[in-house]
Amino acid sequence: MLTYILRRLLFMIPTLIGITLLVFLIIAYSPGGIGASLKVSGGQMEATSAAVREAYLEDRYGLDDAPIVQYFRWLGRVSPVKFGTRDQIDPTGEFVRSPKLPKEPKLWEWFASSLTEYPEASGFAFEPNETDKIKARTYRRQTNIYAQARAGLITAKAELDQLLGAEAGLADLRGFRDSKGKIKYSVINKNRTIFEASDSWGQINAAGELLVNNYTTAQIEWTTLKGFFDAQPFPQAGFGVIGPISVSSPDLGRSFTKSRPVILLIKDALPITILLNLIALPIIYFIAIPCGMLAAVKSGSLFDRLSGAFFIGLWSFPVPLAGVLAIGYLSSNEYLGLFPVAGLHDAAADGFTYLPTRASGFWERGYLLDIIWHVFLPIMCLVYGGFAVLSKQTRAAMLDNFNMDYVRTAKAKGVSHKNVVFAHVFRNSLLPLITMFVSIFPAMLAGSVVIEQIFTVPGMGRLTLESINLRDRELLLANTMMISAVNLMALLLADILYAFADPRISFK
Amino acid sequence: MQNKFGLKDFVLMLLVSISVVLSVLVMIQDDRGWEQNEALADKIGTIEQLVARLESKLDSGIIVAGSSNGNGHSTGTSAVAHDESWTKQAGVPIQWFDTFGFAADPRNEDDYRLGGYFKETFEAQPVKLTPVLAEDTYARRVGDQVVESLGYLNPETLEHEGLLAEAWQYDPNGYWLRVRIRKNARFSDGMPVTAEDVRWSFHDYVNNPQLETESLRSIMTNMERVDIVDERTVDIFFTEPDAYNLQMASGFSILPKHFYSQFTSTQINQSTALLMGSGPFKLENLDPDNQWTPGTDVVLVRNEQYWGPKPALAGMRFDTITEDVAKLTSFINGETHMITPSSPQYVEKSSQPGWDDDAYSLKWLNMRSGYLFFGWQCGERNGKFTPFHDKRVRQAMTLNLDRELMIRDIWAGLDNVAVGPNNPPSPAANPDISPWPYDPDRAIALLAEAGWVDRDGNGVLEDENGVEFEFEFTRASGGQTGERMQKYLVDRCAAIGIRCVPKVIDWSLYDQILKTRNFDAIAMGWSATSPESDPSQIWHTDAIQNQGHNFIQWDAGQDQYIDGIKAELDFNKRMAIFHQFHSLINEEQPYTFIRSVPWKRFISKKFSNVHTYPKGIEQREYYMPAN
Repeated sequence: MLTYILRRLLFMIPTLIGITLLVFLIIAYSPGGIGASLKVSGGQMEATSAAVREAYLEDRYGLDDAPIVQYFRWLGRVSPVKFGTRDQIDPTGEFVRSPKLPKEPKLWEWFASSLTEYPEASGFAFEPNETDKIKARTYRRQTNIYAQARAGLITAKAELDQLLGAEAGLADLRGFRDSKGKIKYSVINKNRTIFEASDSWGQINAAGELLVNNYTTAQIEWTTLKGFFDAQPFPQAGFGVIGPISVSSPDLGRSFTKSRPVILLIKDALPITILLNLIALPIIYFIAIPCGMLAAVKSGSLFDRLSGAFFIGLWSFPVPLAGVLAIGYLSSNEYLGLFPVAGLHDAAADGFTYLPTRASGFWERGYLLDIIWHVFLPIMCLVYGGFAVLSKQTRAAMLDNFNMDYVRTAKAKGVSHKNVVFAHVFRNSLLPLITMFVSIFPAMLAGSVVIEQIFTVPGMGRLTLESINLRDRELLLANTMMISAVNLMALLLADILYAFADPRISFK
Repeated sequence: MQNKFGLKDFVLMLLVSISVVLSVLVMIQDDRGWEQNEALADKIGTIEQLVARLESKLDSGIIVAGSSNGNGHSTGTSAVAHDESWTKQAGVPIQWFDTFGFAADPRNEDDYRLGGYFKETFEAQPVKLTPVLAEDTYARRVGDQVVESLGYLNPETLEHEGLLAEAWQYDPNGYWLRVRIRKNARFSDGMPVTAEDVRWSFHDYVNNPQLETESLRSIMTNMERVDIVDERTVDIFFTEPDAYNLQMASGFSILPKHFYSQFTSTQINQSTALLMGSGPFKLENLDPDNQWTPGTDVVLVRNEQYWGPKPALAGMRFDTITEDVAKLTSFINGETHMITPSSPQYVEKSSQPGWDDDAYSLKWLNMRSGYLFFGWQCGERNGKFTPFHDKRVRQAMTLNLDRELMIRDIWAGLDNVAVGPNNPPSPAANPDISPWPYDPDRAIALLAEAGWVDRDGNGVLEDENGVEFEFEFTRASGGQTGERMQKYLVDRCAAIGIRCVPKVIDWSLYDQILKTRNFDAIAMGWSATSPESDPSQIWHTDAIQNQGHNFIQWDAGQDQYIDGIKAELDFNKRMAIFHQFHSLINEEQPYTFIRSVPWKRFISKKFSNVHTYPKGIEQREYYMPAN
């Protein structure tokens, strides 16, 4: 059994990589690609400023790298086993990574005879008596200097691209932009004479020289910063294993549309989704299973037919409509006004006590009841469609077993009807219910997009939907990984539970 | 004998688990009580501080300047004697802004009363509130109440006036601006606003490459540097004179250096609500370790240390409801006090009897109102000119669309046909221009003049080479209005023999389509953030080649006007050029202007002193009358 579980767990790793890679590539190669929405939010900006902003974003999130490179960079950060230079952790708990190399400028050979080499690293070391605070300050100051140098490089590149693009357009050059509107340097490079003969060559040349100069500055500052980094101003993350291999906690990265760590976004959204489902699931099970059992025992009776029809009726009713109707009639003060319209708390909830209390002669519902009152309608909408499948499944499984030989034998032995139903038939009908639970459990974490949208619940469903709509790389990958990991775990759990529920199954 | 798990055990188990759950709940209850005590102690601390400062002021006999009693505005030179020792250059006029007050002062009303929370509901969730890093309009609406800049736009006249600035001196050649900061200007923690804060906000916040402020940074390139002259005076230098420099220099947020510099750039970048300033309200929860998170209400409380006229409201709350019906229901229930209704909701509710007893239904055009348009590709697409290259074809397209009818059927009759890039009441709109009429016959005649005639009698127009008039219409997916606009356009085109092929794309692809100029006709809208937006971004021919916003590649000699507008520092002369520019656009019809988009608001009548302004709305003026 243990080896079986271990083998399954190990197989999960390539499966997870496969799933995330597939999802990532589909999104990356869809029109617009990763980060398409980032560029839209530019609004009314001049072309140059929009280009500069875009260049900053590309630089910060590495959006201009090939999708596969972006994927493996993500994988490297998520993986608990790391290769190469170890990250460090600053006092605020942030990862400090080895500084990124400045990007070699394109078309540099137009403006300079050669690119400068990186200066020799000086082998910098902090004085042994320097405090952590001073080390951190020294490092941060140099980070800022390097950031300035890099910003100079970024703006100069954006400027040059603008000039080249404008001139190429005026000269009616064909195909100098790719389908996303980015400059194709190979085409530009072939037509160097056109640019050199143009009126704007002076400007282009100046911009190019600035770019090459800024690159040299960035190289120098990078070398200094790298020297500081190698001197370890902060403690290293995780622990080393052998040589360049180390183990440290996975980093899910930062969402670039919300510019917050993904882990925090999930931490905000997940408890809400879990809360909704933790209340909803037991309700579904406690109503659907007994109803299914009763329907099976009294198969063909009025109850069987009525409950079946009722549950199927509920199941067919569209959730969006139910949600809007619930708000319109149950929440609106023009009608019943029983429930709040949206949100999870009352405006005054911060001042509530946690449990209901009696203060100055009347009851205050307290924080806990307030939440339950607020999530009542969303939970009703989550629940009502779930009865049909589960109760029908229970009924069918029970009926199957009722016709089995062993049931007839039990009855013949004189086992009481109650015992036949509960101890024999029900226990043997559990298998399909376990399968059902396994398919429901991951859906629990994924959240319900429709319900969350209607009731303005900031749960996982909305987060996932947004990550797809906005093509937010880190958020999307983290969500995909989480959902698929939970799915795989649930499948494994189901297999283990089968073994417990049915002695015939063994994993030897 | 085997022990079986019987009913008795079950009851016992149940009792045990209930008592465990209860004790956990009681523990949480206790914790909350403790936290609330802490918060209360904090508040008392702040009040003690305030009292101590008041005491010391009283002891030293300083009379606190009466600007907080200020009422109305007075600009220009006034009779009061001013200290002018801070000025940069003698002879250059100084603009004084003696008082800063309410546009409509609530304190004169009989039922004026302090207190009450005003709750506003957003349609989408702001991602973060940290100034400059937060880019969406909702975060801006919150930030406007908390953070202030050197100047502001007068809500009624839309003129630039001093807010944190008491006076300024603006170089007639447009290279510098010297600003005098108000003596009593304070941040919400009581620290004074100093010249160093101004310098720091520009150089070390907006222009800090480690902060994700590039959206503003890349726009503010015309501002060269901020120099400190003395404690309360700064010099702002511009790289070149531009009509929009004053707007830029007086409009950026002044942030407290002492507050923000305690965080690393990573902490600021990843923060959700490090929002502090000198405005009339402040964030209730400014705890950096426990910041506001999206999904919960944003709560602002009155800034008791506000240097200007204090608002009557005890605070403001902002929540988000994404669903239209839920939003309206929440308003009807009184759970929120202000919503932006959809057009049909607005028309239905505002005409419902009895509605006006409980709600103000506001609908007005203001400086942020934008317009919707169809943009015609005037240049080449994939190396070939589209039919819209010809001005007469564009005019025909406009004449062929009954925009009054569109507004009536698609937007429930709300608001006017747009006339151009600037619409009344903007002073930049040419008052002599009225919208093009709906006249399909003239449209057909114009098309024939341009060579588009149905030559083979199949109902579709052809040019002299027999090429049929067919074009692609691009719009964003989602939303009924887009679909209705498309249907109407396809229908009208068919009526005069043009084949219009709709192409529906995701909004995130718009940028790419616009940049690569890969469309024939496109549906879009622009909105404004200031009374006169710089037209060069959208209309200048420089914005054709370098992927700028002149995506329709329109080139009809507009540059002389646009350059003129940017270079002209005198308001009236600039407006005159704007009017000429407007005439050119009206004649050329590079866009078919469809509708100017009004602001719509439902506001609860629990609040008084609710007005609409050309600038928008001013919630700080509201108060909650006694009953």
